[in-house]
Amino acid sequence: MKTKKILSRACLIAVLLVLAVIALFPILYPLMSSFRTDQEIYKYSTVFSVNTLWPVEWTAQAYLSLFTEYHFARFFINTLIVVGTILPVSIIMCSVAAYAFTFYHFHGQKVLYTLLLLTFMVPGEAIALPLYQVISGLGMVNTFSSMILPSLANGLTLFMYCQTFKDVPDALLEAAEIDGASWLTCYARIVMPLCVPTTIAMCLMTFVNEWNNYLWPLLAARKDEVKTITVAITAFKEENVIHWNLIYSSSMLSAIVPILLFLPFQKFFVSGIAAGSVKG
Amino acid sequence: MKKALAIVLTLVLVLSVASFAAAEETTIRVLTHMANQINAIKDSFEAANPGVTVIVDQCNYEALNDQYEVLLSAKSSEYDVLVVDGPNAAAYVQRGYLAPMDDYFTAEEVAAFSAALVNQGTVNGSFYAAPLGDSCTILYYNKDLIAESGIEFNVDQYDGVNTRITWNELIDIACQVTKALDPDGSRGILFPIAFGQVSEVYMMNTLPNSLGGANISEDGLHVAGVIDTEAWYDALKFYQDNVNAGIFDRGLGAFEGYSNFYAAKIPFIVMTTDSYNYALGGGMTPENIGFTYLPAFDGHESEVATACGNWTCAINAYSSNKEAAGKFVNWITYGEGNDLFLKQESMVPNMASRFTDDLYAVNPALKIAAAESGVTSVARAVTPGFNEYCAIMNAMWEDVRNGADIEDAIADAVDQLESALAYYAE
Repeated sequence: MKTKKILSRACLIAVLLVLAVIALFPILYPLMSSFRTDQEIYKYSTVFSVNTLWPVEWTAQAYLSLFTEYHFARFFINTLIVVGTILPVSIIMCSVAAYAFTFYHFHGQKVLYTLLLLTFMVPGEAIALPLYQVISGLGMVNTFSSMILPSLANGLTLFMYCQTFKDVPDALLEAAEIDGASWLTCYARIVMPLCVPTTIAMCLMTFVNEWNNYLWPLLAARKDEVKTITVAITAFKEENVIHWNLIYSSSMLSAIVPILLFLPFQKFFVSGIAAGSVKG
Repeated sequence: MKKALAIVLTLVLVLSVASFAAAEETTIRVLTHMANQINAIKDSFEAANPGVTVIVDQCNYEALNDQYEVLLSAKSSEYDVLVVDGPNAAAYVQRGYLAPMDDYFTAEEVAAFSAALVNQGTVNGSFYAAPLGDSCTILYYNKDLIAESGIEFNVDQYDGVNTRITWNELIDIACQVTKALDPDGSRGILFPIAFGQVSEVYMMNTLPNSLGGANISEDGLHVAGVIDTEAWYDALKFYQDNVNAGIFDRGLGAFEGYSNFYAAKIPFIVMTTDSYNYALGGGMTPENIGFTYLPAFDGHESEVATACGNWTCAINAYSSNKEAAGKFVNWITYGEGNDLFLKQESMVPNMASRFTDDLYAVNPALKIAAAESGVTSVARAVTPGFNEYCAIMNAMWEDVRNGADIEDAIADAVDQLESALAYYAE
């Protein structure tokens, strides 16, 4: 009986291991390939063997080239500036708006709320061209503002905060108001501390979306001074040659920041999303 | 009083000099997928044109056309000089994106370019797109792999004009080479023969063209009666049969064959002449890069067609620095800048006088381009709907590659293109 149990457990682990390898392959292959030359990548790409995954001659040349030849640090910092600005401003703007929509009643509230919800139902690609015309008309092309401003108001973040705020008991705010608290005090000292999981979830979601954003930065920021990582990576695919090791190494570096953020906060992400998902 | 007057006069002098200097400073911006190559030579232009600064921005070549559509439909003046794929020039002119360059090129200068390139850049009698270079498709092979296989492949017997290898001969040799090198598939040789720009009209249309088929009607507005002809059916059947037989590449995207050839995974490949230098960068040596003329179909030796045309320089119609942009375009296409550019990019020169021994020393494959240029070279479809033409025809080639019924694929392409081009006919 015990042997049977051990056997079934071993089978389960084996199956899970195989599944884990399959799931991790899209990460493992680029990671390993980022430490080899292009010639070696092609040499071992066909006829699958250990060397297809495992480098024969390890080299960090691709990583070095990224910083010495291709000024990747600049693109990295540009991306951090864009995302680092969008994140706090967007969270504050959307949560304040959600506070108004949830705790105040005013004319046209429902229409306005519906309009704001529509903003996250329309794909960014659909409005890219008119948005570019607006940004171009304002003389903001090739500036950080062109990438930051369109991302500040986020319908999804607003919606999630509204759903979470509905959980806050009215009595709590009434008591605070009786004690003389202003709306700002109620918002900052009472409501927001109760919504930490939602805030973390929205921060993570906004961060990952903006970090991986490709189409809009491609249109709005072509200068090296403002170019972001996602756009910079595409330069490694030239007309006559594809620099796979540079693509893989830059992709790995690009993935590190979101991964480092996501891992410690993933439990909040799940609870934050769940907190806003069951309200009417 | 004197002191005050001296201060005022000094201020006036300083301001005048400053405003004069400011007026003389011009910055032109260039958008291209070849920023490295242009950045490497722009100092020479700036030195010859004091007060003009050139800033070059890189854009991935696959996104370049989309970028232009977005920028120029918004009438953006952000870029002064645009590097445009030659066949797109006519469409951009029709949409009002490009400025005529007749003021920046004399008639003699324009006439010095190869006739096909002038034709490509001229719309309604005005010159809009100056060629950076030309291109030519040739057959490359890996000398080391051929030698290792022990199969004889002597290209010295071909002079291109009168004799060249035929497709059937090539297929026979390529299969023998592959079988000798990798009899059980354990070495990972991918295919005997690959097309570098597979499923792209630039390269693939040379097959029907080499059987006498045209790309589009003379007015550039119809494909019915042009691509639904015997030459096209035969060419597509030849292509599909060889893909199905595992002789032509399948599964690789456009340009993916290049690096696999550099890595000795493909013994024979059709690429452009400028791929020679990329092959060197990809790990090959002059000793193991072999090349010869593009094959002919049996019985159609006199109809061989090679691809031509390349990137051009044009001036944004909305640019506020057209004068300086015109100077730059003239310099990099006609002037000494083009000599410098060709050394960087090793394109086929845009005029006969630029085929020199110095250039052959950098890229010996250009000798074949010199022989094919103007003799077998066939321009891509000249049509204001070139983007639509490319999208639909590329999809047709890919469908046929993946096993679609040839008659259905052609009929679909004809329907779609006739409908798309009707817009321009109106």
